[in-house]
Amino acid sequence: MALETQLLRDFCQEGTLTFRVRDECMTPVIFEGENVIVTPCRFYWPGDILVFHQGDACLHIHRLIAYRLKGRSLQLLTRGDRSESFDAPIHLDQVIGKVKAVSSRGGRDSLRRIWPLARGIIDLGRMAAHLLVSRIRRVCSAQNT
Amino acid sequence: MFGAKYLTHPETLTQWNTGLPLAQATTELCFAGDRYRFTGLSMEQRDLVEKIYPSCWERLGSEAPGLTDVSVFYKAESEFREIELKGWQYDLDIMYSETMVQIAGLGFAAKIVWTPRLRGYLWTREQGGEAFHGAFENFLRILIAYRLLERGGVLLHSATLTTDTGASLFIGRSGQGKSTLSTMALHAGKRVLSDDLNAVVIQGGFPWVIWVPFHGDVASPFQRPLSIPLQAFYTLEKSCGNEVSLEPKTQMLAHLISCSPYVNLDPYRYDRLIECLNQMCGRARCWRLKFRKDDGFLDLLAGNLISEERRARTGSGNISCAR
Amino acid sequence: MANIEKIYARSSEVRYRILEDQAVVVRQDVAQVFVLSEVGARVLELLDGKRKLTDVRNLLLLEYAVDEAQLEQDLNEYINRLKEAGIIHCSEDW
Repeated sequence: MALETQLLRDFCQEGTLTFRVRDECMTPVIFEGENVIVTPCRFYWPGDILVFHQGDACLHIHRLIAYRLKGRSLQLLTRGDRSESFDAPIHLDQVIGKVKAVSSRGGRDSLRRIWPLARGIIDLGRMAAHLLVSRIRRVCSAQNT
Repeated sequence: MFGAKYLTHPETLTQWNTGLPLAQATTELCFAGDRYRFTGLSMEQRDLVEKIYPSCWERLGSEAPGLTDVSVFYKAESEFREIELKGWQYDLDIMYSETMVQIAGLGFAAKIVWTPRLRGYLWTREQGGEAFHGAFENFLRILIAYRLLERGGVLLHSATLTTDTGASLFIGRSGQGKSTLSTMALHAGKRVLSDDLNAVVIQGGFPWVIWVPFHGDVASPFQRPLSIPLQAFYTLEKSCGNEVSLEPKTQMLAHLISCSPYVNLDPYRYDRLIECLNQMCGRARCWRLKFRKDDGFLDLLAGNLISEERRARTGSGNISCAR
Repeated sequence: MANIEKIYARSSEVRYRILEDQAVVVRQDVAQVFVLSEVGARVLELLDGKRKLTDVRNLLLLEYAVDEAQLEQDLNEYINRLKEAGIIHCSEDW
């Protein structure tokens, strides 16, 4: 399955891929029969809807809830919006991409972008605004003794 | 009020446009493809500067080296506050405006102006020794940072490891592991350009890392070549294992802004900084390195480089490597 | 809780740039850096000091596949987080 995942990811990188949804686990965001447009990313935010495989024959489309560090590896915890329990944890290399937009089957409905949960701020902390010559600190500490 | 921490009459700083030089000695330093001419030094100051900063210059591309003039003046002790140093946290006072940056620090004040060419003025009470060296270098770092920005480059708080084919630049604020990583790399026989500050300049559309004479705990004397193509940026994280993974470009840009000291707080030149960093991100790979305190990460980096070259040739997708 | 009738704007010390659907935000007054997600970047773009939060909500409802209650809850939470981070302020606080 790793090779097929890699191939699908490669196709995604050339453009986007479209999948048809066959389940109702993501309603009302995505209904059965709708098409989802998938694009690969370097980083997935909690709240993104991911397309991934879990070693079985079909692809899953569920929402990323959180990351978890287990031992030395980073696991992704996903769940369908209408599911009561989490999926088995997955790794980043099992992910094809994230759902960028949803298009209804037939008709002329416009594309609707996916609204993830509102967790989208990463605080990288303070900047190295001033870097002072360290010898000044040594001068100060020498004078302090 | 700006300068009140260091100057007895900070309100007069705007009128400091000239002054009395200590003497008439002149020296010229060459860094990162540019020349910096300092006038008004005493013999002692000049000898100290020339001893500490070896003049090392390589022409970068076809661009002729620029010349930045700096006038150094003596200012009486009475103009500067006496500061109780015990338990004191040193910081610089910097005021930004469209045509000028004003700086006040321990025993010195300075201006960097664009009228229209970049020019510097340094007033100091220090006549020599460590205190003069400290004032001089604190000003020189800021001057070089702004000159690099003019040329489409940036001074980055980073460590750089180099091979024959290129450089890997490790971004991180104080305490994130740059010196640790540099020390381990040196012990393993690798070449470290600097573990504190590195200059990155776009030349011919590609980023190059250039040696500048600023280091932290790991002092690496200059050795040719002084400039080397930049292959990859790495953000650093101390960890219990060694792992390399992709860093999203946006986050790498945020880290780069965070590690561009002196200019990252300047609202008048912020757009220029973003433009330069964005261009660099687009031309070098962006990775995240988690490393532990053995040198196993060096093999991981070497393997990463080989995998990158293979991927560039075959056009396959992105994979994170873990060990 | 953010009031839906209020107007929010980016703080004057904040600089931001949108790249690859995400936003890099810098607060130069306290030397801090943030990264916002795609939706976060869009919300920040819309908080221009002229739109009420209710207008922002209505625009987002048109652009995204989400029900109104969920969007309003998430938007309130997000506005509070942006306020805590000092990236935006409310017009009443000017």
